Amino acid sequence: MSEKPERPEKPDHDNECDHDHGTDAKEVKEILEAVSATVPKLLNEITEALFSAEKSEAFGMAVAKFYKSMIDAGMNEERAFELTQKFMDSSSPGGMISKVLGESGGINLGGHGHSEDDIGDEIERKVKAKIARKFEDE
Amino acid sequence: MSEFPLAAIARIPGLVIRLFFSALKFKRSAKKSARKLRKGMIKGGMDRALANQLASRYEESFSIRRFIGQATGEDAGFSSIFPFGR
Repeated sequence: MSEKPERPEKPDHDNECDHDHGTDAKEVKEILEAVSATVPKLLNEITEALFSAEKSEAFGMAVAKFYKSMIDAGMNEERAFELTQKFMDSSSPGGMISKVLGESGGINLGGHGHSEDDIGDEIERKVKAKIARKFEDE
Repeated sequence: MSEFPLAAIARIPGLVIRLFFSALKFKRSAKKSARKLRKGMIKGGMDRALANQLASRYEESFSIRRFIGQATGEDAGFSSIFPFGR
């Protein structure tokens, strides 16, 4: 009987890759399970917390009070309305979320975000600094 | 073939459907809350027309499309695929 020559053992990359894929698959499965269990529940809870009927009505009354107090103090209606809008935007949950998202500049996807805004801010800062220096010199 | 694509893909539709219904619930609650806000403002002695304007502004502040736009740093685009944005 002829014996087959023993093949030198080479590192089994295929098996390693399969093992990696297996772990990845398990991890992804676990992540998706966690996301599908928690995210909708979280959203529902946030919704309930944000939009409770009593809170909304109380907030509406506070806004009306704010507006009335400005009118009573002698401010013109247009200006009072403008300020009331600002007051409402800054203290409503939606306004707060928008503010937080706006200030954070959002999630930077693909390496582009508010680069133009940043450049604009930088230019503004430099121009202001130059003007201030000029005034100081004079 | 590894089990990765099947295991992942099988979970996605359920997740998307649940998220979709959660988003619809969110919008419905925002609408309801805006109605309550309007009622509160009128109760507080504000003019009906002004209360309407402020209530619609309040409702708009919960636009999911806008939230996504702000979170991703885009004005429109990805977020505009959602029908329930406004």
